[in-house]
Order: sequence, then structure tokens, then C-alpha cells
Amino acid sequence: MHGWLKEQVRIYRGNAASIKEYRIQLRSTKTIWYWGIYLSILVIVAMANYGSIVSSASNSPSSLQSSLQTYYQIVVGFLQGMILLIAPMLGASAIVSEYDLRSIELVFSSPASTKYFLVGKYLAALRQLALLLFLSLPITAVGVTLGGATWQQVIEQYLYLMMHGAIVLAVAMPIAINTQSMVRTISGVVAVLILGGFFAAVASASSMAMMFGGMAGSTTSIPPLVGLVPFLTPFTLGYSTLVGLVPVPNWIFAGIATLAIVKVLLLGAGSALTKVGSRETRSLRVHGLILVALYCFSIYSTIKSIPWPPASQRQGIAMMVVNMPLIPIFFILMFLAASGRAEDRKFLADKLFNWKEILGGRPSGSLGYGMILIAMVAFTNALTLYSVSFIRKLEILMLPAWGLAFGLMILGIGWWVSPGFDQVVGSRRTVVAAVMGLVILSHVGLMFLDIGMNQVVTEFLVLANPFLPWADSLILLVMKITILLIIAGLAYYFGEKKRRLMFNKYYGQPKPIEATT
Amino acid sequence: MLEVKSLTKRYGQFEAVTSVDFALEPGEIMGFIGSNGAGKTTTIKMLATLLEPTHGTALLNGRPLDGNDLEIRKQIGYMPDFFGLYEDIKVWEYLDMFATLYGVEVNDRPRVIDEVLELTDLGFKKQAFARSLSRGMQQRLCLARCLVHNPTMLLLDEPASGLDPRARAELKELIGELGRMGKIVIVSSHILPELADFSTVVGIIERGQMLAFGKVNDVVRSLTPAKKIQVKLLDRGAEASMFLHSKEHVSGTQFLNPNEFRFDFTGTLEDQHALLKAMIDAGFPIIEFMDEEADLEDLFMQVTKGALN
Repeated sequence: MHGWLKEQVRIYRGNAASIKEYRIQLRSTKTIWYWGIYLSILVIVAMANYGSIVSSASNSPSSLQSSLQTYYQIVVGFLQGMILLIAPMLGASAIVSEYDLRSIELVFSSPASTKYFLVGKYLAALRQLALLLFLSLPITAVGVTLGGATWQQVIEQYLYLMMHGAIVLAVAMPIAINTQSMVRTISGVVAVLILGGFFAAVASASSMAMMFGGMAGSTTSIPPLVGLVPFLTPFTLGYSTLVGLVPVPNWIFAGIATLAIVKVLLLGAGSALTKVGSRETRSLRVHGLILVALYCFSIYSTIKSIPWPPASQRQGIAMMVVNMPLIPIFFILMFLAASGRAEDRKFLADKLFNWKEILGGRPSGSLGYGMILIAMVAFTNALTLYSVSFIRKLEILMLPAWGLAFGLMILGIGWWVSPGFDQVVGSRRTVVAAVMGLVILSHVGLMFLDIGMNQVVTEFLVLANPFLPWADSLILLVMKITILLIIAGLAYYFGEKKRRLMFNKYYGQPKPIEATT
Repeated sequence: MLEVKSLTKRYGQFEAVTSVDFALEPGEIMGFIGSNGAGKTTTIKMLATLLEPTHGTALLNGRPLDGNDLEIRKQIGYMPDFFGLYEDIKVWEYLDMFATLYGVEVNDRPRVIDEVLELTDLGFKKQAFARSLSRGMQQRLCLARCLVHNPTMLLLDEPASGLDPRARAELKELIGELGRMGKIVIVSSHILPELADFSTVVGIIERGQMLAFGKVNDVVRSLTPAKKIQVKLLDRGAEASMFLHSKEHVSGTQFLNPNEFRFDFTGTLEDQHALLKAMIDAGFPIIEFMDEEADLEDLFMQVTKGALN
């Protein structure tokens, strides 16, 4: 215990990687330029808005007050945009610069752990972000001085901005380790934010709408699924989430979610930096399961808290609640499914399934881990729906079964694609492209739904589409599951043949490297 | 003591390093010779715990050099063939950072930094920015970085590449000093004269295979059964050559000028003495009769001849 405490103090206080980064940040001429540009843009935006808002306001005090509130909101909105832009740059630069200078090899030849390095980098970037926010304080303070906002609102707003910055920064770190490029990291972060934002918006907005629809806005409680999304916190200010009968302020929930998300993302970065089976990979997988369990619990709590919809809408809601949360899991599966045959990963020597590797990070563990993730989300949600009589008993099995079959298909495609690639990055891209291509192509029929095409044909395109869980009968759902399982089986069969062929080629008779002179 | 047993690194289809074995005692400096791509850097990275061997082990004072054992890295000083220096960071800050990473106590750090700067003759640059140093100084700073935690073993990968002759001479002196301090030093290079002066042990690697290993003289002796003897006379060079060819253990005469030639000799020291006596007795006007020392370059060319072809 004493050793562990000492190690934590060493990591979080006086971290050499963090101190070095901070020194560089403060001395670099580039930093001075960035800060100058950031402040100039902020001042210009604030002045332009202040001028236009005040000049358009009438002379009444209430109108002026409202205009000043608008000014404050515009400045804060702009700050949010800046933070979302700057945070990935800071995160990317912290990691990519180490690769560019090749100094990362020197750091990892020392006894410093991956955690020590990543936490140091992360804290230094976070401190830089806090400094940038602090520098903007005089501009937001204008809003307070003129009566557009209170100090309490400003402090709360800055805390939310820090939360958002902390998450975006953490998103950038595993991406930067994988891409080792500034541009690709920032693009990757934007893609993740769009996907994550879309999913969070759909999931939370739907449950919120259902709730407020039922309660007619007469409550200060919000569903946990909404409360746990840190990016929604500014909109849910003043609301709380019921834990049992105790209303917990929303910012506490969002703060805990932020810490959990940051931890999992940093573990992801650590896992990408270390070899297969490392402590970081195992910890990432365990934390992933905990996070998914909490996610399921929040869905359960949300379903419990929303009023019952009319029977006619129940199937749609059931589909959404069971299968929508699977979408992020399917994206994770695309990453788990892919592997490469080169470097130290020795993936070709791996088996199809090995329960001991479920937390280890080898492909033989992907099948087990992927199925656990899907089962956790799909079955717990289905059981939740059954508990509130949304679905029938048989559907408890059938809806998750579709999720498991779809997951198996993704893993099968990964098994088929991976032996063809040296590097895991190449196979990962191909798996994502193959799965997305299959899904998008199969959804073409959806586009014709509303343009007067033959109703039978269009409905057939939707109802017979195995990539959509929609089905108006159990037989149709069974048929879809069967199609997915056949695709998965074929992919596994041909993938395994390919893998054995490559294994013999690469490991059967090793040859020495050709000398270069 | 460093013991390397069957160290192998395989990348899919090919083996970068094939079953390398050697052992080094404290104070020994190993010149690790090989052409580009021979497997020197891969071997060094495995010893630095940065790469996991496919097979085999390496033990430093009985403890395995395993990447999962972070503590073992405190016994290793690794200097790659690049500097990896940060921008906008001072010499002492750079060393302070690595001293912290290696777990040197806060109170000891200033003293340790001063000591390694003094050893590497960089004390006067303590407050300078690392990137502003000359290439030779940057190289010495990197060596200082390897020394902040007082390691048992130093792994120096191509330390003298790109240095001017003066910086090279200084570096050689410094490496010699580290050997005298009792450290195990492995210095890799493909520029042979760099290593010849200070290496006590030599390892020649080609296509991932250790072709020769041992003390420089032992390796020379084992690999060159026929030594070359050079003879210089006042005159009668051709006659002396014919005379020698009539004797045992002599072959392959090569004239350098009419009265000077070298020949291959496979006999013992006693045979060599008898041969010289016979020439003198025969009245040949000998000015010089001496062994030609095989240097590392000759040795390398001889050993790798088969591997490179």
C-alpha cells in the first residue's frame, strides 16, 4: 500500500514528463504566437458582438439586460468552440512531438511506466488548457460587470468547459499514438466527436423528450442517460438525477462520467503504447466492462423513469433501447476484430478463441470480449424492457440474438481481413470500410421509402435487410439472424484458411534478413 | 556480468538476430561490429529491454533483461544512434528530467548532474539550451544522460557517427574511462577504426549471426591460422623468396618491391625462429623480419567475406 501511494505521488506530483512539457510550453515562441492569436480572436469576437448587440437593443433596462445575456452566451459559445479546437491540438502535439523527436524511445528505456508518461503529458496539456481559459476570464468578466451573467454562472461555465476540454484532450491521446500525426489526430478527434455527439444527442434527447413529454416539464429531475453526458451539462444546469430518492446535482454525475471517460481513454492510449497482454490492456478491458455496466444501468434507470408510451409505440422504443446502445459497441468491435501479422504482436500464432485472452488483447480474446460486451448491453436492456412489459418473453432472447449475430459478423470479417495485413492499422481500416460498406449498401432501400416506389419492394428492402433489427414478425427476425450467422461463418471459415496459409508462410521456415550495405 | 544466451529476434518471415551468445565481465568494452542492417541495433534494443526477444535470454548480474521489469532499467544506460533532444530545454533540465525518470532522489539530483557534466566535460554548458550545443557536445550530453543513474551496463549504438575527428577522440577517451570505472560497455559501429583503440572484446555480427566473439587478440589468433610475415632485404629478394618456399609452413609470397615481400606462415614460434636462423645462416642480408598485426578491419573483412557474398 505504501509503495502504491508513493508511486501515485511520483506520478501526479513532480512528474518529470509534465514538468518538461510545461517548461517547453512556457518558453516556446510558438506558444506565445498561439496565445496571441487566441486572445486577439477572442477580443475581436467579443467586441464585435458587444457592439452589435448593444446597438440593436432598445433603451429599456430589461432589453439591455437580455442583450448582455446574449453577449455572454455568444462569448461562452465561442470559447467552447475554441476549446474543442485547441484541446485536440494540445493532446496531439504532446504525443506527436515525442515521436517526431524520437525521444519517446529514450523515455521508455527508463524505468518510467506508461502511466507515468501519459499522465504527465495529459496533466501538462490540461494545465495549458486551464491557462488559456484563465486568460479569457477578463472578456467573460465584462459580461458579469455589465450584468449579463453572475460570477456563479461564469465559474460553473468554466468548469464545464474544462470538463469538455479534458475529454477531448483524452480522446486525442490514443488517436495520436496510433496515427503519430497532428493532422490525422485532429481529424480523428473531430470524427469521434461527431459520432459520439450524434449518438449522445439521439440517445439522451429521445429519453429526455419522452420524459418531459410525460411529465410536462414539471420536474427538476432528468434521466441518468442525459445526466451522464458531460457535453449536455450546460443545458441541464439546475437539474438533478435521482439516485434512489436522493436528487444528485447533475454536475456531480457529469464530473464522475468525465473522470471515467478520461481514465478509459488514457488506458486506451496506454494499451496502444504497450505490448499485447500488458497491464494497461487488461485494465482497459476491465474498465471498459465496468463502464458498459454503468451504461446499462443508466439505460435501465432511464427506462424506469420515463412514462409508459402507448402500446403502438412500444416496439419502436424497444428496438431503440435494445439496439441503439449497441452501435458504439459495434464500433469498438470493429477495432477489436482487426489485427496485423507483423511486429511483436505475433497475431498469426493466435487461435480463434481462448478464454484466457479475453482481457489480454490478442485476437483469440476478441470473440469472448466482444460477445460479453454485446450480451451485457443487449440482454440487460431487453430484460429491463421486459420488466416494464415493453416486450414479450421471446423477444428477450431474439433482440439480443440479432446483436450477437451482427457482432459475430463483424468479428468474422476481422478474422478474414487481418491475415492480409502486416500492420494492425491497415486491417482496422479495411474492417471498418467493409462493415460500413455492407451496412450502407444495404440501407439504400431506405432512401426509396418515401418517394412513391412500390411499397412492397421498399418494405421488403427494409424488412428483409439483415443489417437492420427491424422486423414485424419473429420469423423474419430469425431469418435475419440466420443470414448474419451465415456471413459470419463464411468469413471465419475463409479467414481461418487464409490465416493458416499465412502462418505457414511466415512462421514455418524463417529466413534471415537480407543484409543492406 | 552480462550473459546473453541464444538471443533471437524474428520479424515474421525473417530473423533479424539469430541465436546470439556472449558474456561480458565488468570493465569490459565490447566493440560490436557489423555492416548496416546486420542486427546490431536490434540486439542492443533487446538488451535495453525495448524489444522483446523471440527466443533466448539476457541476464545482467543474474537478473533477466525483461521489458516488464522496469527496475532492471536502472542498471542500463542506453544511447541510441539519434539524440532525441527536446527544443527549448536547458542542459541541466534535460538531465534533471532523466534523473527524475530514473528515480534519483530530489536531493541528490544537483550533485549527480554536476558530476556527469564534469565527466563529460560539459560543466560550462549547464545553463545552455540543449539544441544550441554542437553535435559533439550533444553526443556527450546524451552520454551524460545515460550516466545520471550510475548504470552497470552502457549500450551505445553508433555513438561516434557524424562526429568530427576531435569529438571522436574525446568520445573514445570517455568510453575508455567508463570501462576503467568498471562498467560493462557495448559500443556498436560499422566504422571499424572507431572501435579498434578501446575495445577489449570484439563481437562481429552479420545477417543476424554472431560470426566471431572474444578478446581482440584471441579472435585474431583463432581466425587467422596463417600469419603474415614481412621480410625486407638489402638485395637478393627473389632468391630469398625461393629459399623460403623450399621450407615447411611457408606459402603465398607477395612482393611489395623487389627486395621486400610478405608470406603466409602456419608454423609455431619455434618454427618461425628456425626459419629466420636458416635465412641468416644462408647469408641473406635481412633488414626486417616481422609479423604483420591483423587489425579489426582485416578481421572483419575476413570474417564477413562468406556472409556478404
